[in-house]
Amino acid sequence: MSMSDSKQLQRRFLELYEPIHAQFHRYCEVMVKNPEMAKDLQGDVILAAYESFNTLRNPASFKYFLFGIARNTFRKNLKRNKVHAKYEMNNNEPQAHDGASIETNVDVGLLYDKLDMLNPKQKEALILFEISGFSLKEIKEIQGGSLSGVKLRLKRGRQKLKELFSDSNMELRDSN
Amino acid sequence: MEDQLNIYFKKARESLSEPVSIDEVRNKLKDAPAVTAKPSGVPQKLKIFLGLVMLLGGLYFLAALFSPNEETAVAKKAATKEAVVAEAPQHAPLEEAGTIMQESTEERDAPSQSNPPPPKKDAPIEPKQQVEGSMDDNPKNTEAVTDQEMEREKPTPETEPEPVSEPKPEPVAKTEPEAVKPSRSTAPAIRDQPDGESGHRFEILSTSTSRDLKELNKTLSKYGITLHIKAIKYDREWISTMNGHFEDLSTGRKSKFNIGSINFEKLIFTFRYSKSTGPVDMKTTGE
Repeated sequence: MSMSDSKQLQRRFLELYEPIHAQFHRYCEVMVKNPEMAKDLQGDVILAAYESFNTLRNPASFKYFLFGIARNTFRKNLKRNKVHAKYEMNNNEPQAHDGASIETNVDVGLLYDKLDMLNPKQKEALILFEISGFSLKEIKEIQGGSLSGVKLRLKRGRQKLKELFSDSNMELRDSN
Repeated sequence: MEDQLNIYFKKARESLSEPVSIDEVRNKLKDAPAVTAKPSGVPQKLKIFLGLVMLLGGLYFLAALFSPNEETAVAKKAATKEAVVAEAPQHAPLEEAGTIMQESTEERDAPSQSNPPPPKKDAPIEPKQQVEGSMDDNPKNTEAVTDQEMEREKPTPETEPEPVSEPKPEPVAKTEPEAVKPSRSTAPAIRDQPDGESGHRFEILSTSTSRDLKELNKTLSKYGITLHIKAIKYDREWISTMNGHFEDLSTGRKSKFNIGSINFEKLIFTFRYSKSTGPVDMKTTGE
């Protein structure tokens, strides 16, 4: 491959990636619950996506392509148990942000715990919609299926989260 | 609860770190290894299949390459052996010649026959032609003497019926040792030496050829006996391995033999024959 071809490929890749860069970062951070590890995961996924970018025939499927790689990379690392050392080092203890208050960090940690209790698809849909800020249509592109399926996933996920939060509140009241 | 959930998500959004700049990503892509040009039209499975085919083809080629060499080597070895046989077969000594084996399955009522001592056992035995040469010098060779001694020593068997019942070929066999004087050119490798009135003794010398064996079989067929040779191997012109059996065709009785070494001198097959009983006391011994 010539230099110009390579540059053209990079340009095409960045054209598709740049609009979702911030959203993708958020998704990675919520998945691994650690900003540094999130950057590592993001970098790994971007490189993997770029290396197999030629296999992407339809540019409209780029989001599905990129998030699919991210999902698989994350799962692969989970299976290898490397994730404990790499991504899930602070699974139950989300890294505190300097600017955030203690109360915020506790709430965020609680939310991540509850999200982990959900169905993986529901969890992903909620992260993509509520935190990354993707639209329903974009989530449909990323997750596949139908729009109503995405809506249903989000509705059920939220419902389950509510139940989980109310249960934990009851437990707190009981303990007091 | 709905509001509370929204607050949680809002807090989560706010708590997230800033993403890496897009320039950083750009630099990463520049440093990335070259992307494969284009997805090739050949599917991965087909590539694997082609690879396997090539590998098998290579193995087949290698196998084909090596196998003819082996054949050639074997052929060369055989050719060398033949050349050695053709050049100097007659000068090999038979010092180690001796009794190898004797195997007989039919020894029910056969009296143990004392075999004549092998000729020139102490002295180194020269190959066939030299032995024959000595026979020329001394017409009364050891075997003839042995036969005469045996005839003298052995009494007429009581069980033997009248001489009328003797088979046709027997008189011929009886007269053979006297009529045919062994000479350098005519000395047979297999001889029928009458043993008593109705006894027969055939000797298969180590120098017997397949033609001799055929003749023996032909002769034995007159007595209702057939010679089955399962395996025979020659080392130069001597029999090195031979196994098989003599079979009485009427009763199916067998007298087996198995020569497993070149160091044998002769195989002696004895039996008695009468028209009424057919061949009896079949015995095979070796020297």
